[in-house]
Amino acid sequence: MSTKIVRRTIPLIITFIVGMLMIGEWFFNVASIDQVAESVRQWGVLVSAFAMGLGSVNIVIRNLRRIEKREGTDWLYAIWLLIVFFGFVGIGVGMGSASSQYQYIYNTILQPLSGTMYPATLFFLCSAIYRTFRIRSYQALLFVATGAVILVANAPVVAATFPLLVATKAWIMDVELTAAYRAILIGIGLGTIMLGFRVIFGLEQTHLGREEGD
Amino acid sequence: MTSEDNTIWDKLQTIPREVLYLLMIISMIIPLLSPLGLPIPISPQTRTLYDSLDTLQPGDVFVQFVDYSAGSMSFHEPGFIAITYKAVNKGAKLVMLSSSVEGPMMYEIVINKIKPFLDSAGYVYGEDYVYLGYTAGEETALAAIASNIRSVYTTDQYGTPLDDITLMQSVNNHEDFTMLISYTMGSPESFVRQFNTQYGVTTHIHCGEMMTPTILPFWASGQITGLLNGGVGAAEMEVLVGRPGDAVKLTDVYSFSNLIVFAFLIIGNIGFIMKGRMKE
Amino acid sequence: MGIIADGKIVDFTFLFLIWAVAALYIWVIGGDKFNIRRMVAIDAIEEAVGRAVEMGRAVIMNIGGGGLLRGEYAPASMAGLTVLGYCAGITAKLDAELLCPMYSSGGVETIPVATELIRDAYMAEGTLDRFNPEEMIPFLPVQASVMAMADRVRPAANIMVGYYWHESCIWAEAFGRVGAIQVGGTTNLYQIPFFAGACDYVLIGEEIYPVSAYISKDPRLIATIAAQDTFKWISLLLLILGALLVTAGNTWLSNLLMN
Repeated sequence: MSTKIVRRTIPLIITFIVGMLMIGEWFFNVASIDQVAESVRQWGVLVSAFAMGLGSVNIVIRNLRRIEKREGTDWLYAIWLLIVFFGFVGIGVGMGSASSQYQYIYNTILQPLSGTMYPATLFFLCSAIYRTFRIRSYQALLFVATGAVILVANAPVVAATFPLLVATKAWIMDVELTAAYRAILIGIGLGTIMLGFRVIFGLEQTHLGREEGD
Repeated sequence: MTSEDNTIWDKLQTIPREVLYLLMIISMIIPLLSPLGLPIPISPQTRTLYDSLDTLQPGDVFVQFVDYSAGSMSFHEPGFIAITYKAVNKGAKLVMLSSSVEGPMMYEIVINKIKPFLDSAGYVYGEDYVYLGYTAGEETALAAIASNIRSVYTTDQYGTPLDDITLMQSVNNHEDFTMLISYTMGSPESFVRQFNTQYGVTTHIHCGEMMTPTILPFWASGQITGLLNGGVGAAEMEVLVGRPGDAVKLTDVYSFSNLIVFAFLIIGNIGFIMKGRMKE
Repeated sequence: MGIIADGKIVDFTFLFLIWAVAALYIWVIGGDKFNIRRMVAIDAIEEAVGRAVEMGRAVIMNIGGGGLLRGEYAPASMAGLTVLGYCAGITAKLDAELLCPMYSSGGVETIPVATELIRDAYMAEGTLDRFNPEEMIPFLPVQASVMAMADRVRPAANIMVGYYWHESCIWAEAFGRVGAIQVGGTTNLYQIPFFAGACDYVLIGEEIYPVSAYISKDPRLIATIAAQDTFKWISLLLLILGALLVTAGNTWLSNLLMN
């Protein structure tokens, strides 16, 4: 079968059919469309689960290759990754994710590490604010002043002590911020609709790679 | 570096980040060790959530999506506990499920913390509350849950068929949900789209602080009825339900850490502005 | 019960009209009648790659962790893949080192697509021998790994276009500290301010979607952007009209649109 048919034509046909089907299911009261769309939705759930499985296999293969090459010190981390990976998989599949053993390794390994990484955002955010929020122009002054008001008013002790600051923050959030985000939301919504149009009707093909001769 | 580049104003602009991080850590540790008990004002978004929970009647089905992860557990868990406490006090039935991978793990941790008041309220698993587990598919799964929960779940987390669970015998789709809440750091908009926009189900969200500004338009338009703003929102809810807990303890930390960042913002700009004037 | 679902007549009408206008612009008026304004952030990508070549350092291009299977994240990931293909073409042409770290569950399903895009770009430039997917597309399970990459690789350019969560702030700061020139763009509203504050060039929200039209100059794609802009004007008019009517006590328009 020609490469072009496999890499372009078939994916475009599938995209068109599924896209129109899901749009039809959303807008029209036609029982047969609903039934087919329900099946497609279930396939979507299955494909997502398969993607996770694919990713797991991908991780294992890549790290095995890293161990095989033994370049630098990365291969040592790859060994550790595979140990933890198969440990979690083995205990989870063998004893169940609700078992006390799985709970134990989750609570002692993953939970503290995840719990550390997310709040680490705070420190990077602080240094980013300190480094980049400079009043270089009138627009920057508005930017910094607005950010400062919200930053301070978010502190409960300040909010309780200075109600005016809270009212200012509420006005900024309810009026300015809401208006700006609504505008961006509308733009994103229209952009997504047009991207959908381009993808469904085959105008957008960059995700399929270049054609021969490009 | 010339002497022109080494004035006090330059130093104010280039304070090592390690100093900032150290001050942040100190500002967090001190209030944790010695809480100040500072007052907590209640925001309108939390108030609407509380008022909505107040309308629950005995037997109403309250669906909770346990979609938070270990990273956001510090504020999502207190919010979940406070809201569940309120729902249990109103006699609502609890259907809990997860559309995020870490949800089941978070549930296993939090169930031990809510079991005491579930037991004291006479709640029995399978009759008054149930946990269905995790389903892959994100928004696709939400759409399927809304239209027919059995198309996604055939058993609960522990393998019991749904038809054998008393509570689930009368819960099939969105029509049976009185209201729902999602504790998420992912995509709250997907819950609005699949439940409120599509079927008009009362939808609440508990999300992180950085997400709140973006979700506010949905709250302002009524598509989201109640909105908890991260840890501060969880603390407000704990105060409203009369059960101060971990979130209330953290509000002092929020206060001090926010003020430290504000102080550095001012210091950096003082250095920048004075340096500019010096050059002129 | 009619053929159109209750409460969706207005939505369907708008969708039909948007598509009809797009079709009109593409096949009747012709896309060559429209122009896209200069997009500084996209132009900066070539500048950034050139800088990387001069400095002998790498270019890091990241498309976020949204993946292609989740409805809300897929459009931004697709836009990121478009930028990736473009960036790979430039790095192949200018002989710059390209790294495209993938992370999270979203990266899993995107790796094969990204691999094909980069391979095609290198093949088109006749430099397939420099294409090494194992090194160019590392899979890094967590955000911290990319931060470690910033310190280790010290790239001259960091391009982040796709769907991001809180890692947007962390990475923008980490790459900014090592002196990389940064281009950021996402449709995740929560993260746009971080990119706006920390990146040198930013694509706000929907600005990541016209990239393919801007790069390819395809008249059909440009026509769809023009249709999108037409409906932005229509939305603005409806907003103003609706606000005036509601202020005057007349709610027919808002009732109609909420039907």
